[in-house]
Amino acid sequence: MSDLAADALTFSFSERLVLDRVTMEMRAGEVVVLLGANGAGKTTLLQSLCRQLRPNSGTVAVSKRDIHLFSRRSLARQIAFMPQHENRQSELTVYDVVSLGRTPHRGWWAPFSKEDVRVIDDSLQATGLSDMKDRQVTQLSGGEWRRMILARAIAQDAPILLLDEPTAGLDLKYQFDVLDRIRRMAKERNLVVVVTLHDLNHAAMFGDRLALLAEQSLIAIGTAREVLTPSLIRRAFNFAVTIMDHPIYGTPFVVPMYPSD
Amino acid sequence: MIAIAFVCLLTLSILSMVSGAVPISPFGILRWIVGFQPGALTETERTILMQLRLPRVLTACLVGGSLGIAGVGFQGLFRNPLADPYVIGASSGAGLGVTLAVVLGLHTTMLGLSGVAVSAAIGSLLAVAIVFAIGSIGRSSSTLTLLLAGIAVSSMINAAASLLMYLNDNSLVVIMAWLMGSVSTNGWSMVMATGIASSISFGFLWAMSRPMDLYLLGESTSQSLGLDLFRFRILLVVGSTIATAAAVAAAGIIGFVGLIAPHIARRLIGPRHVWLLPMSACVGAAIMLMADVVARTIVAPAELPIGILTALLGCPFFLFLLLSRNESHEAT
Repeated sequence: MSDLAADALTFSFSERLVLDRVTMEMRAGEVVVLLGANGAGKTTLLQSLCRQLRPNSGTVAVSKRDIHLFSRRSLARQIAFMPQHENRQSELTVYDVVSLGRTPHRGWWAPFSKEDVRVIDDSLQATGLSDMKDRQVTQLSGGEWRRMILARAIAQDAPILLLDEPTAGLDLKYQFDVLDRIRRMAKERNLVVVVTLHDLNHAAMFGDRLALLAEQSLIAIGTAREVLTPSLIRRAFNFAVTIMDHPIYGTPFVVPMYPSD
Repeated sequence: MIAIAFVCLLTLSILSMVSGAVPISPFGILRWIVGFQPGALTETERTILMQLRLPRVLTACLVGGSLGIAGVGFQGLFRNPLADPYVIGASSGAGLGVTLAVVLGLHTTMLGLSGVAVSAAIGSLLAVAIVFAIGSIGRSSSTLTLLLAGIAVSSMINAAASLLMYLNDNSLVVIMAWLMGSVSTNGWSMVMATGIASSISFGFLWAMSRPMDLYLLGESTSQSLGLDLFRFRILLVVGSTIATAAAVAAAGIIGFVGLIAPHIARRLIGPRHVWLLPMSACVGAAIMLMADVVARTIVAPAELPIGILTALLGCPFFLFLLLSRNESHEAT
């Protein structure tokens, strides 16, 4: 069981400050949804949490151990990251790409074990890709491609899962399938899941805690009821909303007020 | 598929051994090699085969194979299909090495290898080492930095070699003849040396097949899946450069083979490196064998530099591949 903690994380691109002393803890078994306007620093925070970016100051720790003390391979066994963008030009098949998710567990030469094959098949099944596993990556649609890299992140079988907009480009069925799958995995396997989303209602339905980024820092973190308030949403998105109760699930339901003024 | 390629290569090798001023029966060669029947060939034929044609065929195969795997290595490193084994300075380093050896009159041999060949190999390795050292300053090197450092250092080394040639124009013919490439003057010691270096680099790169697949997904993704980029790049450059230096030392600068062999291999067997590397080695070897046969028969009894032929024949073939690939992409 692992947990993930960021302590006073500060990051800037040249002169532009993106994150200013962000501190948060993410516990095993919970789904934390990162919310914020475009450019608020959600992806930067996610990439700093998995050592894709090196912060100017502050630390990130997995089970209280600084992530910079891990070798790349041992860190990959702890944290799986699904990026928003990736090179799509390779002629590898869907199965090849998803099976590469097993690399941290297999080393450079070890052949697939039965466990590897099972995990890969499960990941393909969970993302609805079993039928297209022999298709070349270059022939996938945007949504299919995102499901494939999600399948690879699942196949990595790490206790911490960081997902950058996993539902972008997916149709309605897969948006809910994917979010439901992620939530069930977090609970069943006791995973830390940190996910960036744009849909506030999805965040309310699937997140245990929501973290709202604005003005280079974390302006709120807590349950959907605590974070999804008209004033915080206006502050983060510069947009007026009203909050109702979801008629079926009882979660906060964000209704945009348009025109917003 | 690899087995078919290997059989084709074997057939080409026998055809290459058959052709020449003294015709030798291919069935005789087969009976001699496969059937262990020394009587299948005359004494003269055996001498021609053992002293001339077999070392030549093996050198052509080893050089082509080395360039094939080095091409896969550098195209993988830069994730760019236009990269070739000379992209970060191996050819200019070899050029300066050869020029220096000829100008300084380095006629000694080391372990049966000519001083010029050894100097070419050392030049290649040194040039790539300098480029890599410059490109890796601060451990934050991107492949783009490495590529640009390669262009800059190559230009400087080329300028130094040109200056030396300008000041020693009486050596120009010897230097140019060497640089244009040939597999004709190599004996068994060169075959052995090239074989050892090629095998080492092949083993080296083949062992990295999976990380090379991973690297196709991009730097940040491969890193998040556990790849230590800095170490990976060093190993990839070392493996590819040993292969390139071995090829350059054995045959001079052979253009296009290292560029087109990986492309053809990829079309035949796909992008996974565990298959791509051996296939590219087979394709590179086959191209070299065919080019060598043409080089020594088209203007017989004289001989064309093989490097000119590979570029001359390789270029249209490459363009054909490129255009047919574009058509198939447009069709999908």
